[in-house]
Amino acid sequence: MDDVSFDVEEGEFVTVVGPSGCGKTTTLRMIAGLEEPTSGNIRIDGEDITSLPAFERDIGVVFQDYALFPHKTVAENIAFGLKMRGKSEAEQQEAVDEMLRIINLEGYDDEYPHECSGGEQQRVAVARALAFDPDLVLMDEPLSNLDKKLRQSMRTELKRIQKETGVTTIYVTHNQTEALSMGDHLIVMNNGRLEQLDEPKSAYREPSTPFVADFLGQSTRLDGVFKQNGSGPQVRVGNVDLTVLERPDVESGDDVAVFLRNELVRLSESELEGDNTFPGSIRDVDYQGSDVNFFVDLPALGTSVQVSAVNGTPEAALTEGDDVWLQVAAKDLIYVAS
Amino acid sequence: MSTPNTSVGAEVSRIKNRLAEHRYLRLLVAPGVGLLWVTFFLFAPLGIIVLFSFYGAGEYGAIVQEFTLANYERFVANPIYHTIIAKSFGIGVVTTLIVLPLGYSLGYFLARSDTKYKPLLLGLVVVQFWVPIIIRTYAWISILGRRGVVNQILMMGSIITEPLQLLYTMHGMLIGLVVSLMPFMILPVYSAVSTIDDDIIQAAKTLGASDARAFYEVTLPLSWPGVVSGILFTFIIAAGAFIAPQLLGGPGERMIAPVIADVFLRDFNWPFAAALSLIYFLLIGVSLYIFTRKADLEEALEGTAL
Repeated sequence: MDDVSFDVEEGEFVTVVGPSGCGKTTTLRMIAGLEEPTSGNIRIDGEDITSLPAFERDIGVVFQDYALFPHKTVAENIAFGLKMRGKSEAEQQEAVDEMLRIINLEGYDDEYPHECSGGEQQRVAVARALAFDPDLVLMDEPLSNLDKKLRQSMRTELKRIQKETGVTTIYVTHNQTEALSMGDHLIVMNNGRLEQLDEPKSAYREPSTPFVADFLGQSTRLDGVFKQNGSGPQVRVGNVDLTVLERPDVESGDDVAVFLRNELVRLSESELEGDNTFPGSIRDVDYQGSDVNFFVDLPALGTSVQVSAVNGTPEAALTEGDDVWLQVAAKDLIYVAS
Repeated sequence: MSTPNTSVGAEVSRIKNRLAEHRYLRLLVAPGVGLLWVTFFLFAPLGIIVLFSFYGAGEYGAIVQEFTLANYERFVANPIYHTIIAKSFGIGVVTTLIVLPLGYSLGYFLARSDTKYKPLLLGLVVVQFWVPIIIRTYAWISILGRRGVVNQILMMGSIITEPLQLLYTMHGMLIGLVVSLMPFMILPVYSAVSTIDDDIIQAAKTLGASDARAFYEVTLPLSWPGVVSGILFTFIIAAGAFIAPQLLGGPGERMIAPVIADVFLRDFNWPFAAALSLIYFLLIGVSLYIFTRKADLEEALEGTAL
């Protein structure tokens, strides 16, 4: 871990995203009290909890494998946090009833975890972490063990539950779709470092580091040098000058990484007009159903560029070997200092 | 149809029939071999013992094959046998009560620790099984004796002036029993605890359970099957212990197994020995039945649905 610092507002839903091994789970575990940071501190509501052991922190955790108590019923699992805090049986039952209602599993009181489906277990794990009204809830890739359809419906469920309970949530995932769709704010991590903290839209449209630009969305990366002269702001990639928009933080002569987002590159069989137009031919086709990814060789750039077409458009019907034209508007060209 | 054809055909179908029968027999025997084994080596000897307990004892070890209750009457009439049986049962219980916390702790820490010495430590526990119990017990003589290791160290350290009488006492025998039975508790507990997912214990902690409460609420119930196994093994062996009382116990530590052996081998009174065996067998059997019923009941209440 390398100097990771951030603030989270109360009631916020923050996602932490990054590739495996980037330190996001470690960060989560340190907040939960399951691991000790070598330096720095953790504060909730201004109170420093860094030296508190896990069981004295008021933080709920949802584990990737749910970690439900196999020898306890659903109700006992959910009530556990309250039981540890000495709440009466009546209070426990009330909380259990409320949580079961929120997660839509009313009547499951006496079921055992192994009698429930994956999605149900997941919801019980969430209910258990929320039942004792914690200051903060941490979720460690809770949806990664579910199949795609279930993941999608659980995503909506989790957002709804978080809105209804209003509890501050930090959600860790390596899935960028979840990261973009679920959070009020997004934290991108890589190699133990915090790359960017922003709203999902801003992080996607204005990535602040090459890693973030590459990690979110699908794009082709080109490396070049920014130059500002009589012809306006440009990036020289190989033998070609790409027209771009000015950025306040990049100066003439800086090395930059240029990112062409698949969906922002225009594709056509006929010649296109505008900035940054290139002829090429389709080398490879990656059929995805709702869209198609093409790998197009551009002789001018000496490399191939990814571009996507949506199912139903005429471009989606193109195949390998077809000659095409690509064009990227200056405003759609993302580049960052590298 | 010419005659040669018919005879060949008939021959073939005869062979086929025998093969089919054979295979059917083979299928029948396959699981049955296990059944035969158990019948031969368990039920038959037990049956013989039951039978013999109702025979009379004749002169010079002869067995009078007439139905009699004399052996049981002799048992009832002689309180010394009651004492010995009660004592043996009691030693079984005491040994188990000592082994339980010690063995559980070792099994627990072995399972939960992450040291690179884990395989070595496990190996040390298992290795004890390779050494026959009589040798393991015999070794205690040189440790606990008047000129044994313990006394020598205590004397050298000037902690005592006279050697302690550790051998041929209850303490000596218990030490020998406890140490030789530890693996029977350590291994099942180790096995049970190591199957407990660490995440579950950590989840308990994040929900507000201190280390002690996490142990009580999660680890202990989930390791319960291992504990029950350990208790069963330890108690059965300790209650019927033969070698430890013989080698390490004194005349005050008479246990039922050596007594039965004496009645068999010294008195040649097979019927009476059989009766004593059967009585103790039933006592242990009933106790274990009650224990497992109670243990299972607790398991059911805890909800271990596995």
